[in-house]
Amino acid sequence: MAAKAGASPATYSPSPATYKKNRPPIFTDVDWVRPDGRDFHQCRPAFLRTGAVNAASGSAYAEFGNTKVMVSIFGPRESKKAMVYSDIGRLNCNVSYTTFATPVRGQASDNKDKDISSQLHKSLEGAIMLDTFPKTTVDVFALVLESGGCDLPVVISCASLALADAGIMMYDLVAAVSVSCLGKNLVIDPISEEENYQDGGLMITCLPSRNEVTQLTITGEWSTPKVHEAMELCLDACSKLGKIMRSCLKESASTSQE
Amino acid sequence: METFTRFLLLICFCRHTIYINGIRFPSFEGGTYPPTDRPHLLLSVCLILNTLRRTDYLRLRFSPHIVDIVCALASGRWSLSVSPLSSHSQSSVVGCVGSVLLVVLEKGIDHIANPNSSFRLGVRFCPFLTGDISGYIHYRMVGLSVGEKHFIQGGIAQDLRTDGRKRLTYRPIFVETGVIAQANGSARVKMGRTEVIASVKAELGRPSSSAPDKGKVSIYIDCSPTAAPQFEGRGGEELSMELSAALRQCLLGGKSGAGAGINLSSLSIVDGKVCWDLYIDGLVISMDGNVLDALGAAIKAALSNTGIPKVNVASAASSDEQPEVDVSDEEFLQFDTTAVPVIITLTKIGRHYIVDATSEEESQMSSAVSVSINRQGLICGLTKRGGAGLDPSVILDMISVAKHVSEQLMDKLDSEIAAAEAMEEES
Amino acid sequence: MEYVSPEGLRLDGRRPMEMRQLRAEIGAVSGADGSAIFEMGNTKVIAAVYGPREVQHRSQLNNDKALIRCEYTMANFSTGDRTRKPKGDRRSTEISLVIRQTMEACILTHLMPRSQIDIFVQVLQADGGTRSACINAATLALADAGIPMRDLVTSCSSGYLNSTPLLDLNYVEDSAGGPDVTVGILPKLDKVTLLQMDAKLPMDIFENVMQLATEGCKAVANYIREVLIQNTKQLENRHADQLSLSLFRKLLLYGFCSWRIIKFLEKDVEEET
Repeated sequence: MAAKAGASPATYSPSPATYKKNRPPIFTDVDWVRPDGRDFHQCRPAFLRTGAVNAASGSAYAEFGNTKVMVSIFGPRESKKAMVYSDIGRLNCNVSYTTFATPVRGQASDNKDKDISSQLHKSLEGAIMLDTFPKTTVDVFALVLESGGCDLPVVISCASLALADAGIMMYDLVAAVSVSCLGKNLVIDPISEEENYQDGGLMITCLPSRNEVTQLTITGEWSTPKVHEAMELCLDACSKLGKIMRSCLKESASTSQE
Repeated sequence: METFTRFLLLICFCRHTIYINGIRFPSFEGGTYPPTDRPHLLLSVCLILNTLRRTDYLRLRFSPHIVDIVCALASGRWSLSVSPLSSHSQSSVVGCVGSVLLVVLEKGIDHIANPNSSFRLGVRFCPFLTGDISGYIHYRMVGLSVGEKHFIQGGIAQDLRTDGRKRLTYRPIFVETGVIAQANGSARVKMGRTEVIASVKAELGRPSSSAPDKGKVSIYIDCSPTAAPQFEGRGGEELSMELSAALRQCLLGGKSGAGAGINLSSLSIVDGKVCWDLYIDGLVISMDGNVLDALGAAIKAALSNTGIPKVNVASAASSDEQPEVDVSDEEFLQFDTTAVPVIITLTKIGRHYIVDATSEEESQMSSAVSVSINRQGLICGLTKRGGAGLDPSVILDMISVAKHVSEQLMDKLDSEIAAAEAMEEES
Repeated sequence: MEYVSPEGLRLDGRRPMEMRQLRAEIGAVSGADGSAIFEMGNTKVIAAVYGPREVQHRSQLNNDKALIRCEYTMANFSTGDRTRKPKGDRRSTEISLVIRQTMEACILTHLMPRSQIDIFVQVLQADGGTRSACINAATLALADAGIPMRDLVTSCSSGYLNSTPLLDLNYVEDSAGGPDVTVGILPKLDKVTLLQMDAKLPMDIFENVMQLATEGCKAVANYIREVLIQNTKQLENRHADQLSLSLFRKLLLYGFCSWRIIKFLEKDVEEET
């Protein structure tokens, strides 16, 4: 503080005591304000655009608060020769983090990438009509430009938008939302700070207009009523997110027609 | 013989004799059965082959007139290859089997065979064979035939599965502890034909800077090629990773540590300096469905078998130095495993869900939900596999069913673990 | 370091010419065509055999004999210090090759042309002599799979420490750096199929050490034969009945068979087991 108050500091020196890793007390109390000032049940403003990458057959960019994600779709292309014959299409998902995505450079590990990639695959495969493109492969490449919490749900939603942009047949758009459980409270669409101190997390990916859940993951300790509550909260948010995604697609279609 | 991929060829002859592993099989001797008006015979021959172990070999005595060959059934289930015993040439056996198939083709395959299977035959055909021809017939499972699929699905709808279980019955669970002498704790768990080994090793390490008062736990699963030939080389890596991730999610709890099966604070020795690193390694030895539940059970058993050496910290050194730690060889602290949850996988087939699915049943699933539930009935983790979407109300129903099943499983597992440990102490 | 005490006892209390406790179990992996667990003291390996089956890669197909493949893997927890090794390191590739060549020598490959036999060995605990234990386990697994063989192959190691020939080295003795002779024999034909040694030994002593290992192999062969005979006896009694029993159970489900037959067969099986 002293440095700030004084005139321009001549040298830069980091203060050693600023990094407190202990859980901030606010998260345990009943009344606390989220770091970005949202209500517990309020999502971050979403910004979605399709067609971010020209070379891809379909692409989308999503920005939820600080989380920024870009997804490009390539294909359907012929499956590699080595693969066995398959009468349904294949989905190949790959998620990577930029080195500057996390506060500490290059922190996101390779293992985490693979884990997220397989989760993305599981969430999308139920929504895509794989039988419409036999013997072929669709590549989904997702790049997390900045990780600000809720990376996986944002990647999934953005990927489904990109798939729609690429004209891949789907039963419905896939919307994904997660909630964190912090003490007694359920917090929707958590930022990374909240995610780091969460007691539990729940993520739902669903097809909003079919009311179908394609993926559900729960970590941490949950009682059944709490799971009910969290699921309701998520499903509600998913249907809203689905509408936003739909309008984004409509918009891009109308502009391209003009 | 390479052309016989994806075929089941069942051969039943007039005045035929079937030997299985050299033992004459009594119930199928004599009689002429035209294939079309006696469908049950086809079924019974099909069943003979289903009851065989894969190592069994059939010795078939081919009768002199091929016209007498009654039936052969082709479906997607078995692949078959024939190789001769010493005295006969390859071509004659292949020719013989080929002619059997041709007869079937002439007699109208649509009555008996899977309509979707296509026939690709490129065998040398020898029309008349005389004498006995014996051969090893190798066959292996490559998929389920349409009939079997219906059988499994229909059975589940009627609450009677192919092995006689009900929908929510587990296969018998067998637990053995202390199988790996070099580890701090280990267990081998068998559920039917699924078999896994879990071992726990504790090593001294440094706690991470973000959680100085806690130890670390890591879970790694390996799929041994003994379980299935496709795990050879790097083939098992994908499944290993998926299982490891699912187990981490189900057993290690949330970021703050709530719902963790293992209390990480109990692994701390000196705050910020020394802690125990717990390495949990799982190995899948034999696989017949429901591997995740078996691994969860094995890890629980291994943890309750684990003794962590007692540690004496020599005099509190100054805050910068690494304190000296003396690990005792004799005194061990028992690990508290009451909080370790059990994992229950509900596999949805048709409109119903079942526990402890075999691999045959798993091949028919639309989706599967794995829930980990602890003693208090709280959910500690959940993952879903399989592409098909589920209605939210179905998921909630599955959770409540899993909760109900978990109580029985937990009791059964606890008693099995206790029995295994008693056995170990005796020996 | 003293590996043999003045009283003639080794570090683990054995005599120089004493083998560790052997234990074998047939049929540990139910999904495989043949499988076995083999233990030599604390060394514990599991072997599974798949095949004979179709050749997976056409380029490897042999028109006149079967293709034998082998893979050796070590579990993460098998050694004292826990390590995560990448698959297919040099050591396991070498051992895979040794096991493959040894087994190839005894399998009657010409009887199963154009087919493939896979042998997978998995080390659960390593305490010296994994090579020998793997070969012994593979022999049992091949026998369980019903694959025609000339003879059993059995293997045992021996070493020379403190001027004493020692049979069946454990890990501590193995890592002492002395000579280590691994021998594999076909006991009935009395032929050697595998002989490996590192370090150097005078000719006359080598003969002694090898003789000792050969004796060890024969002891293992006796044990393995006993296990196989036991196993076959059990199979003989049970298998035919159980086959028909499970068949009739399934028939019952379809309604083609009556309960009486099942009850009758069940009684039969129970009496025999």
